[in-house]
Amino acid sequence: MEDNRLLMNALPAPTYNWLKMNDAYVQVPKDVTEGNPMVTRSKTVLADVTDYDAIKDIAGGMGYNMDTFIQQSGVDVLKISTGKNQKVISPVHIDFDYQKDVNTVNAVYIEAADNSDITVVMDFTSQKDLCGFAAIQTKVRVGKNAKVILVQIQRLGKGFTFLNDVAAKTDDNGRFEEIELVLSGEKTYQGSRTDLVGKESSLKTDVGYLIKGHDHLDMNHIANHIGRKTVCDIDVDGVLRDEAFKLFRGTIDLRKGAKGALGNELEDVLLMDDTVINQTIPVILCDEDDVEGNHGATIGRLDDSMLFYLESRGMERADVYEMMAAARIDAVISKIPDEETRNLILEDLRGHKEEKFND
Amino acid sequence: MAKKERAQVNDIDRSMYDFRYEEKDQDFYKIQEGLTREIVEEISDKKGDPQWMRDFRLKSLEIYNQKEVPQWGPSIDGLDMNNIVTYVKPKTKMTADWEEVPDDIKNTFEKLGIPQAERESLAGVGAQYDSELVYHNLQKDVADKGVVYTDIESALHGPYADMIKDHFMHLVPPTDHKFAALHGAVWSGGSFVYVPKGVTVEIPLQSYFRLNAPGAGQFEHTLIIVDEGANLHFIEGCSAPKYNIANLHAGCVELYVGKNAKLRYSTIENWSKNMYNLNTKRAIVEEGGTMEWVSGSFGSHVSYLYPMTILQGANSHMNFTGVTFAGKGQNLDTGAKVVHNAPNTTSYISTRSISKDGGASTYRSSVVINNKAKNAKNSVSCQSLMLDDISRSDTIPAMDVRTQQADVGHEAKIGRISDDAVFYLMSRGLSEEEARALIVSGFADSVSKELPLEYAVEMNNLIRLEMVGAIG
Repeated sequence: MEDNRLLMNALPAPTYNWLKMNDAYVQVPKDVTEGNPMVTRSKTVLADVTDYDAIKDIAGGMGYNMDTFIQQSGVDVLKISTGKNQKVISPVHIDFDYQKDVNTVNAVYIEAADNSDITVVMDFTSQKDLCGFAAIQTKVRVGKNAKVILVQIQRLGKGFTFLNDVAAKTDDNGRFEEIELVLSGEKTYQGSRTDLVGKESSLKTDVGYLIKGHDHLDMNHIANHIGRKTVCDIDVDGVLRDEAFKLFRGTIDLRKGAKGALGNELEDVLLMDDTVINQTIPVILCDEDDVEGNHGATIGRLDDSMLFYLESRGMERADVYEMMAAARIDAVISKIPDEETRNLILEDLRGHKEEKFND
Repeated sequence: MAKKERAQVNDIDRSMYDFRYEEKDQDFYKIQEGLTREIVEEISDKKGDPQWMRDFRLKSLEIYNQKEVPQWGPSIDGLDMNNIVTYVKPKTKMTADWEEVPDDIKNTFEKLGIPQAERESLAGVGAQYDSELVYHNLQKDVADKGVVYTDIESALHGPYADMIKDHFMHLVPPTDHKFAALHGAVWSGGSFVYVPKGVTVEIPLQSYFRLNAPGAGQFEHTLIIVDEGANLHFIEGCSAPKYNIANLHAGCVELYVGKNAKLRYSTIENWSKNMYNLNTKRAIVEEGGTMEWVSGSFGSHVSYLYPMTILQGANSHMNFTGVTFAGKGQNLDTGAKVVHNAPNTTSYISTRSISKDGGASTYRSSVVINNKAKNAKNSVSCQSLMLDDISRSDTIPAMDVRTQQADVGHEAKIGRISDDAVFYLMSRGLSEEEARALIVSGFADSVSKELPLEYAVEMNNLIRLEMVGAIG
């Protein structure tokens, strides 16, 4: 923790040092305060406060240093929980509206009891020109046959550094769905780790990002297959513009004993400008034979045949690129199981687009 | 219901490589174990280095002492440089006549089939035994075209001395990593090839490296320059008998492919399972040039092997085809690296890995597309097959793209034999056993078909895939 530069987002299996992709050093402030989110929930959903010790055993994608940072900040852990067999229809909303020059930290724990369903939407916003630092850690425990959908939307100001760590652990037949949208913020470090412990439990991750200007996005997603017949699908769709930088680390770890497990990982990156930097490292670790792991990545410009087709229909090339960029993000937005949230984001994105055309 | 048996894939039959002759003191000169300034100076003295090379060795030793062991790959804790003999010289001179090679050494290469291969299908052969070449020959008609194929030491003192000085460890500088520095300090043996402008060498050249001494290191240096419009196929083979103590191979290969030139570099690596294979290979390709790698990794206890290609000229191309077979006691970390530095460059990487009997294989790669590489295209396909549940297989590919005008595609797959594929073949009339055997052999065949015939035969000797029963 020297100089408050913390090593985070470490790749579970490091590679050549010269690529500088193994991990990230993150500058964190010495003095932080607890953020004050607005929580909207139906009365049947329990919301209270718990101690960090209750969630220590669930490890996140950003790693041990993030745990230490959150724990040492001394913040309370906001706990959202369901009862057994409870199907929560309306999503729980946790909205963070950050103010100027804040240095805030928050921790959230979502506990879905056996046979329950819950959706939690977390929206991180600020005024568009603000600077600041915010760190959030969300830990999730998915009970037997339970399902948790976690939606996180990042719409922070141009000068924000944002640390977003997700950690999940699933019991038998539990399902964790994670939808991450990164739409702004100067420096974003995002980690996510799911331990698929229970038999036939599953993870579905959808990440959409739109990075522009000099923004920097550093991600580390890990799916650990521990139980038998566990399944993960990690889909990442993104658009890079201007001089943006993005690094995606994605690891599927098929561990001894995870017989019948299946892990899939796919990243599709559209590069809009010639000054962007894209780094991708999709890792599969395999210690079991009766498993299957697949990953794929496509990086670059649009396919020539698609361009030709759309241009032959009268579209300008630049318009085709804009349309396809928007389509990628829209595809991720469409997976959010809450119409109000979808409309909110689409409206926000339209505002950004109009603003761009008015520049 | 009859009990199903798991498919058995036999380990590599190494008997044809494990024979050995005891090295008698009167026939060999061995330097003291370990790595010190005095040892490096003694090697330099023995080899009669020019001053610049002596200085280069000593500078490399300094770098070696400063560099850390890499922390990202398989463990090399079992390698102690204090126990490694870095220079073992047979007391014989290099010759171009097999009859002049001492009997034990000649018999070794006879058993490996080298003289026979030379007679039947090679344009030239170099044979290194421990730290020095004992045989080197080039067909007269090839030499008449101006092709140079000799040992590095001779080239250092001959008309190509300046060419060596201008190229030696320029592509792989000693600062690259700890074992490149080690190589710079104690290198010995290896080959120098120069193919003049426009010359096509119709049949391959081959260098074979045999490390016979227990506890020794082999540090051969291969430097190949294929000039503008020229064409060469170079084959490299290596093997060693197994001992109970660690051996080390830290060779270095530097390849310069000129404008519109083409070089194919084929390797079948079959070191014994006490070998630490920490080899570095790198090529730079000028405008319109083509670099092709065909790589089979079967031996060694631990391997770090990632041939790298720098596509420096516009329209240059790289193709890498590799197969890795990791059996009991092996941890083979292999793959490829490519850097696109110019417009319209293309690269294709295709690898297959097989892990069995507790072996671990890792596919590791990097693809870097720099901003100058407009319209660059890269495609990577890596597949790994797990043949039992005590083995391990990892894929760690990295991509770094710094221009919008590029197309990069990557696909990887790890798993066991597909039930669907077996079902399909059985529906076409094959028994389950035949279907599984066909799939496993076909998995490796996609690489062996890229090998020259004589090496494909060797590969078939290496992988004897015998299927018994059906996978349960």
